[in-house]
Amino acid sequence: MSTAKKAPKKIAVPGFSFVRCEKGISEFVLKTNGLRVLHHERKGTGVVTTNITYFVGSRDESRGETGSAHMLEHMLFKPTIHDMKRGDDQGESMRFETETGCIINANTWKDRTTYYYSYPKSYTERAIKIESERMNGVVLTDESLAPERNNVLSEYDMYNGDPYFALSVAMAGAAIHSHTYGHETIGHREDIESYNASILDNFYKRYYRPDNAILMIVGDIDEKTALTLVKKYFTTTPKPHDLIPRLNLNEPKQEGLRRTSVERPSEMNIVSLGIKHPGFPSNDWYTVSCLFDVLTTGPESVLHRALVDTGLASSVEGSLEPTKEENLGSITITLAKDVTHANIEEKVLSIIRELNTKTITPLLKNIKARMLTDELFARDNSLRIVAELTEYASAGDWTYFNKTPDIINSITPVMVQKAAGDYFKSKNMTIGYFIGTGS
Amino acid sequence: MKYNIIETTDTSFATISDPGLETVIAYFSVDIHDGKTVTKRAVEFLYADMLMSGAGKYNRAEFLDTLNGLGANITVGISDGVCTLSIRARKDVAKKVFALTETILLSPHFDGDELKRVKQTVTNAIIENKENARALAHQQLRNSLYGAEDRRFTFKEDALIEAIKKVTPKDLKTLHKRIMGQFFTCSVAAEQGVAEELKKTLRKIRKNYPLEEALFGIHQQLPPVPRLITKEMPSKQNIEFSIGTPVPITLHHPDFIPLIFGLLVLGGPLFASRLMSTVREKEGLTYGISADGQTFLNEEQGYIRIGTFFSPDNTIKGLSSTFREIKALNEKGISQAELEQFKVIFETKQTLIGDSISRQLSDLHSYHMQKFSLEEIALHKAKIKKLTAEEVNSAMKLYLDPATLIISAVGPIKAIKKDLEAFMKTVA
Repeated sequence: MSTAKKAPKKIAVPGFSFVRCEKGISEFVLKTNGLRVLHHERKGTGVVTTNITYFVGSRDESRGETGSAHMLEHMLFKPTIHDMKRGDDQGESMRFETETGCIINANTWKDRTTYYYSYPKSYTERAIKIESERMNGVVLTDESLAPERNNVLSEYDMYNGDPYFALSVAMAGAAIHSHTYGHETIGHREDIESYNASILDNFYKRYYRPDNAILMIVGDIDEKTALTLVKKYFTTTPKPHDLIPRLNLNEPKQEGLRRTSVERPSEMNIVSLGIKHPGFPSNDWYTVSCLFDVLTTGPESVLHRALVDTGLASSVEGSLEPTKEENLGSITITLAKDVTHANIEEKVLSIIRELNTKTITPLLKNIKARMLTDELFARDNSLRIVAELTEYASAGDWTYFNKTPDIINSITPVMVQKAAGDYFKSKNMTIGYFIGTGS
Repeated sequence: MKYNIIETTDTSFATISDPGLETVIAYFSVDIHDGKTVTKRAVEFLYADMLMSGAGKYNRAEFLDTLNGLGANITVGISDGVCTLSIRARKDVAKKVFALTETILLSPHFDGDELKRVKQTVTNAIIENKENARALAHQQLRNSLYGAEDRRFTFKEDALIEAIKKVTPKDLKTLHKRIMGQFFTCSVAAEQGVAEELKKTLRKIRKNYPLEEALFGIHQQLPPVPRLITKEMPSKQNIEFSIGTPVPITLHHPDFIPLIFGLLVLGGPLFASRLMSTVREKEGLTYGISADGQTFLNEEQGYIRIGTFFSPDNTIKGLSSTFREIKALNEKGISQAELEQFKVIFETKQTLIGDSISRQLSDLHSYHMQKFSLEEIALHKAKIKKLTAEEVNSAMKLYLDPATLIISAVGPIKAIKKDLEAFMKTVA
């Protein structure tokens, strides 16, 4: 249930609109340009984490430009125009880490690109200044792109050497024909090899703007200090007049079971069952999440008992991403030696068809208990808090950060059983085989 | 947060307590290394799962259901000859979780039918891990640095699988008794009252398993013999490397802190490190590269490891750059500016630990396992502040000699194997 308070008459720092405050997390908007700000104080830790999330990800990439959101993320650690004016050839965003040892990182996903720093609180001003400078000062040239492209290709090869990744790429491509969720965030190797700085520059100019971002400040810092710094460094950042371009994505209706396979010189054999699931954080998404937990999470889960405990498989994993729109989730089974793909596929589908409330009820009760504990541990430090907030904010509503326990508690065994029938049907499924041809 | 360590003749108990803690995290570790054989290792592989497969009045399913119903986790693992039981729970169910811990430790079933199941699942997991190139490259390195009876040695998968077939319930009971008769090292982060409850549980367990004679662990560090060890794995795109050399000192040696500091400058997990700033950032040859000192345990000597990966096309260039940086550090050492820079970095890392109770407990437990008191931990950290560049450079000169490094590689090597062998000759 929402615990939103009415906007107070006075805001600690003028220049912001107060949006809401829920369980210690306050949201503001900087009036000059629409930048959204979340603040959450954790007294006495001595540490602050800042995170800026841009609402742009691989979802916004066109054909031939896959991976550009992720490539751009790498380039935001290069010297900005502001650094160049100061004669700094390393760039302040990287220098901050190399001089102080603070945690820096970034990640790109389907709907978002996120940059974060975690540091002793005395560095807060420096971190906020860096984020303001790279919101509109990134310099993209083919020369600076070259070594970074090699790093990204190395990253791509690291993922692609993993059979699970290779199969998931093939599965997404087979399952999703029009929507851009059909390609992995890192993109296709061929695209990474071919695009140039101007493609990234266009991407940067379109999406890196204050009204397409949310800045989170979580840690040992009070609201007034945090907002004062945001105002100092962001208030003059211009908001472009044009609209934020969005691809109009309509996925055609699936009319039958889809299949794909990957063959490699390997001893591994894998079966993956993919289903299209609803967007996050809808109640239906959580129901499917519970269904996946019932089937795959922990040694007591249904498929673990049926496949791993009986020696038919070495592992069973479920994967369900918190994407804003309908996407592919999957259950992946690594086969034991001499077990065939077809046998496992048939067995798993039969188990899912026969799933009943008697089996689901005790498992769902435990999932709910475990979730309560997970929530407490997930909020153990400022980095994890912002990571969780990021997913909710990117999906459209950060206040789900506080609503999840109530949603999960409202899910019943009947709902989970119904989801098994609704989602694991041939017109919603894609089945993939990783076939090891021996080494 | 209040820190405390109380040691008795049979148990050491460390606490981080705070009245506001809503959770409990605990680590309970026992060093069980007494010289490895493939048979002993096979029993250890099965032990963790078997301990969770029925105890007291519970069969496996009932036990898992009870534990999961509390929303809690108990996990058991054996790594490098140390068995660790970890607990993670909410404060309000802590007492019940401790009672379950007591049950599995005091009355495990080690039932024959369950053993059959666990043998199958563990064997399947070992087979699945056969294509984990990174882990295999690291194993190859460790096996060339330590003898077969050392805790760091890993037996071949097929030998392990054969040995697993022969394990009996009696073997597991013997191992359990061996574990429970050793010195307990427990670290917990919880509200004071909850920590006291755990202490009570441990006392009860100790009463049932009094301290026995300490195990004698064989330590077999080998002299450095530079060589190239490869394993072909055509399913991978990158070649995984573990490069290293044994270090003939323990963590109590005066050179230990300078050595670890020098390795942080070389390849700490930061863009500030020399390897990340050159091999990755400037030259774009790999996505990740790191260096550190590993498994310096009590009176045992550890080793230096540089971990990275390159595409076959970039391998020789990447190795040349990596060795160039190692050679430069070995010959010229670090600058005064680097010394100051990495002292600041160390301070930041210490502050960041304070943001998380899990990080604080992990940090405390790692020192606690090496038998450090709170005063010794503080002293150890303070030594870093007083470190000089001369001390670091002397350690780099002594222990980071590129001519003693072993290169272990796993991946699609075939096409460049001759180039790799030629490169090795230039190094050695």
